[in-house]
Amino acid sequence: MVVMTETAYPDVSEDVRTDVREDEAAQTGATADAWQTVVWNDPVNLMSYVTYVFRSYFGYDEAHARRLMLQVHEEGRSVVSRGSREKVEVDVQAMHGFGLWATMQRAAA
Amino acid sequence: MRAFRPHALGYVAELDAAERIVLAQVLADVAQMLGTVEGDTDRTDDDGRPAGAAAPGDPAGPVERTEVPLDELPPHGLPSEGSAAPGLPADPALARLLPDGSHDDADVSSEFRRLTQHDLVDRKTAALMLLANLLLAEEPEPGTRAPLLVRREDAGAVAAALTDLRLVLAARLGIETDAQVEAVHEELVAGSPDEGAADGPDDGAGAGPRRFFASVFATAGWLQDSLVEGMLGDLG
Repeated sequence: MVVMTETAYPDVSEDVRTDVREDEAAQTGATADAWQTVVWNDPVNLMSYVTYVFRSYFGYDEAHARRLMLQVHEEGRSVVSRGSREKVEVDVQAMHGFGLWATMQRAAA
Repeated sequence: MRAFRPHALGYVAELDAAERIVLAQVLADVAQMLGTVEGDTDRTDDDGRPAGAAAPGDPAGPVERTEVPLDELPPHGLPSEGSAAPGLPADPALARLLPDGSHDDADVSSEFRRLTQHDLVDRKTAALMLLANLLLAEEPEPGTRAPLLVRREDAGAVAAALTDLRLVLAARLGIETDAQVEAVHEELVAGSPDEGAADGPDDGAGAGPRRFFASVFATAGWLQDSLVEGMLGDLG
């Protein structure tokens, strides 16, 4: 991932907000959240664009979208959504529509 | 060229005629490439252009094609035999536009491709041609720029089209790491690459096409970033 303009990012380690859906899924182990959307790092997509996609498509707030974007950039991948196989298929297709490199996978048991 | 700025109706950049024709032609080349995807051969006209798409150059009158066709920069390395999951396009550029749906499960990838590829090809082709036609809607006098207005409702498609354009060029240029992207930008800033050693694994396409596509790659990224900054601003 590349950045075209230098922007000061907030210290993400202080961002304690989490996606409520993720917490619920972790606690209940709901089978409805048996699949995950993974976005992979690539050298082409702009940091600004990846953040835009996470905000506009998933409706994540700025801090959450930026945290996921930085995770993709620094760790090479990030789980960006969870749900049924059908839901995750739709999300992965949407990511491909935006030009992001995404795959679907079963959540760890 | 001037980068995108916010506008009452969306976002506006300024491009001259040559910049418009170059970008539109490469966008149309990518759309044409998508038209070759297996099982989607029905969606091209006889001349290979996406069905219903105006041939770039036509709306702007007789325009000489001074730019380099994408064919001049052939696929950069092909996947080794048998490594591709069923249905993954052999051309690395197309494979990046239409990647597998699963990292390690061929059945999931195959099912995903069956369900989604047709729609994805349609959506990408429409976005690429939307931007190509926007670019060719005006033909400024030589030496002058004209506004390129991207309406707010079209901005997502335009940003996606610029992404797909850059993904294809990156694949053709053999860009696989962040450092290689920076090297391409430095190469352009440094000027003539002809005297230096070939940068990276060149494939015999020569410095001319490589430099041309590197320039289009960098320009598209610069335009896209200014557009996306405006779009992010509108999200609040």
